[in-house]
Amino acid sequence: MERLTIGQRTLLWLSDSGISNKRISQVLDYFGSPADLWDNFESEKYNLTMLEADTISKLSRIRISFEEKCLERLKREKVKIVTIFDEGYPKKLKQISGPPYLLYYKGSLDGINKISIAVIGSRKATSYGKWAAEKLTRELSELGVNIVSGLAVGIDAVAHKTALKYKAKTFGIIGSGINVVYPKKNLELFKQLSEDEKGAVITEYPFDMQPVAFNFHDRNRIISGLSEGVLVIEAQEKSGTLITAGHAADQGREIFALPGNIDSLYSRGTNALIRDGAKITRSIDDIIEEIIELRERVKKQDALTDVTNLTDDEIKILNCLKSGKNTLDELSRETKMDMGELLSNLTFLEMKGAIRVNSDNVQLNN
Amino acid sequence: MLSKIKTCVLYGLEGYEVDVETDLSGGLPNFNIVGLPDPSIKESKERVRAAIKNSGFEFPVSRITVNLAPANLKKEGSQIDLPIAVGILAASKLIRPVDEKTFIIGELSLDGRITAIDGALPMVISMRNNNFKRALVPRDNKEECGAIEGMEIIPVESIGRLVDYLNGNITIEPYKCKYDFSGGPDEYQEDFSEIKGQAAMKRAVEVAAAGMHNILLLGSPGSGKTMIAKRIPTILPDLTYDESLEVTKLYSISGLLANKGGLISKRPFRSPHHTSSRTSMAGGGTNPRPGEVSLSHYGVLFLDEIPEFPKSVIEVLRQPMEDGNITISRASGSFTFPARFMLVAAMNPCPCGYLGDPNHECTCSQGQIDKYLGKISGPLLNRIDIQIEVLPVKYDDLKDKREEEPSAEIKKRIVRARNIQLKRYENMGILTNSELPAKGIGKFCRLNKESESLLKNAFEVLGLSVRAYNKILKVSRTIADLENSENIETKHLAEAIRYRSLDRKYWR
Repeated sequence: MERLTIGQRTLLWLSDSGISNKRISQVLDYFGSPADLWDNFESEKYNLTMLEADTISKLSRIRISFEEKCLERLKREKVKIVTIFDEGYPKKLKQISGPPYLLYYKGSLDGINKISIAVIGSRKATSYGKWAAEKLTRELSELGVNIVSGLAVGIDAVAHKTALKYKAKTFGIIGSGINVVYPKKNLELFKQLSEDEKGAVITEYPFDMQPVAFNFHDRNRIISGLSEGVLVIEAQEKSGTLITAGHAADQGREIFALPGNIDSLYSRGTNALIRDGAKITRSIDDIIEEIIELRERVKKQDALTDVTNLTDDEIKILNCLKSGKNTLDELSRETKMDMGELLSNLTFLEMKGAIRVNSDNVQLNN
Repeated sequence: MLSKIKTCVLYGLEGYEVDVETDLSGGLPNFNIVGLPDPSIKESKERVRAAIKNSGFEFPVSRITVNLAPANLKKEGSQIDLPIAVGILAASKLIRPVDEKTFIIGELSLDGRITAIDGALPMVISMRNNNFKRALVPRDNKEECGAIEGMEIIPVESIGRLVDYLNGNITIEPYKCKYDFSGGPDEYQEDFSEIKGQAAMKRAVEVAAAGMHNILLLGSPGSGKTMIAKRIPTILPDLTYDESLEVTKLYSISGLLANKGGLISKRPFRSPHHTSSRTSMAGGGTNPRPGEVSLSHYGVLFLDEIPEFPKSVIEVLRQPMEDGNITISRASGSFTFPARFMLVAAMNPCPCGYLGDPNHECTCSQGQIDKYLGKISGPLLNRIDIQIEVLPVKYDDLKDKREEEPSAEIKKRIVRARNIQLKRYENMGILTNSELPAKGIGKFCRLNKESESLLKNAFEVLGLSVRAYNKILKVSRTIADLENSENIETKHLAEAIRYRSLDRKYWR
């Protein structure tokens, strides 16, 4: 980025002073266009009732040699920006109410207008949730769907990692400044997402903005806004995940919810969503069915499991799993294998890609 | 008017020969002890005076000088009461001189009775190695000393009887007892059959016990971690005679022999609380005593809620886990105590305990969870061979009427596996697979082609860390031994891979 357009300069300037997206919208309405805003700000600044005096004086102060400083910082941090007036702005975002005027991002927004599904869920997921997130994300990735999520720990991290592994584009929307990595645990994931061909880390917040709770509420509207549908893996009642689902409903996006056991805290939210009309997601087919473009794209993948290559014992275990027995104790009882034998067979099955073992819990891959 | 009596003082686990020389001479009546006695020995004066008088003998009215030789060695312990009393009686010609091959230990009470002391067993063993033939010990210490070959143990209960014995008026039969360490009914309160379900955890514990592998149990409250840990001693092989001597020595100097009983035949099980200090864990004091790591020698050291232990306490475990002993350096010298234990650690997945539990809400923040798991340092994790996660027991399992396998059955398998290991490592100075050094792994844990490729795959597919490599090999060796299989087969390796699953889930 050699120079900024007048729109970019004005919006960066407003954003940098820390005023919210809503206020930006009000100020722009007052002046009519970004150019008018930039030119006439000094003369009109005492009439701007929607801004606080502090903000106004800050705007005046940082205005001087703003462009040079700003360009320098963007370059140093390898951050790019796109405004709602620009060509590269995500088309889907323009459709939502209260779209962010300015997005900061690292990586590349190429392909962001293609079909995307947001995969979201609780930070403290159960092993079932993680398994389902991985399975469904993998299947979506293999269909070439972009995966959008919030770069938090738990389901978000599983979704991003799986998308990276299966070479799908993946976009992480964060609730802090682009240079603030939160949670720190995800630093590695941040770096990977920031690579051009893999996707992008996106935020509407200016540099150095700390991840305060309120931001997450707002960034959730971008997660759903960027996607055709939102897949809710696990959510507690009254959780941020449900807020995203609420945004999705407001924006007219499809909501997919993974059903769970009724005694699981982490499935209460998703089960409630299903009651309220979200699409129950028993397999990838339930998602494909709702999204027209996907239906056309579908070509069924070959089963991963090579059943011809399994031993009798392994088949016995798979059959037990299919009948819903999935803890180690149950499997050992049903198959009449002693624990040592069972454990070693499980390793073989896992190596062959037929199952996943999560702590005490065994799940089929297909 | 001079007498010389042999006795013994302890430094760490070693007993040193000490001469108690007593001289009676004219002059003002006085009683002095020289030769670096510590306060407990200086106080003996009063006990000796009263005990002699109350036993019906005359306490000599003269200048009494007691010298403890060699004079450069600091002496500590109440076992010197009795030799001093005997020295005074011998110097005043009330008893015949005691021969050079006899040594005397014992504490006195004011009425002339001889009471039990700490550390009688290590003293007797050390003195036997110094070619002593006879030991006069307090009667209450006879059980622990009676099993020592090559030493006559003469139990005495009072000064009166001791004098009669030394003068040849009565005879006291040397005390001998035989210990049978093979089999015999176990008197444990607990049994494995009381644990319903949890077959995976039981199997992991069986493998761990068979190879003395350190094990980490991770699971939410109520999953039975503590219950199973408490039952591990019931499946461990009985101590051998030599092992028992070593363990009893440690308990003897710590004064922990129950009811002043005989040799310890059961493997120790220690579960220090997480408020324990470094010293209590490692051992210490001016004249160091063994700590928890040594008290669990040849047995189990169980640390419940291991992240709650202060880091400094946990790090103390590193040297003993590596070397099988612990060295304590103090101003008075450095002392080495044996500490070959099997570490059984239990912890929750997060501070509140419910992370990943579908039925309870976890109330911890991510930062709290990271901090909690971070307390288990890499080097410590490195020394834990088996990690297993346990989920709460299901109601169906609890009410299940099926008989669970009793400890005795599991123990049989473990004893067999241990015997295989003992034979294999006969001349290597190690006892179990867990102690196998890197060089030995190459020699005894060879994999066939199929297993090699399985392991390579596992590293890729499961994302195991490199540090897991040797652990997996050692554990597969143990699993093969449990099956009495000469070579490690692929299925053994496949099972061992399962016991590293936590590495990738929590610590990455």
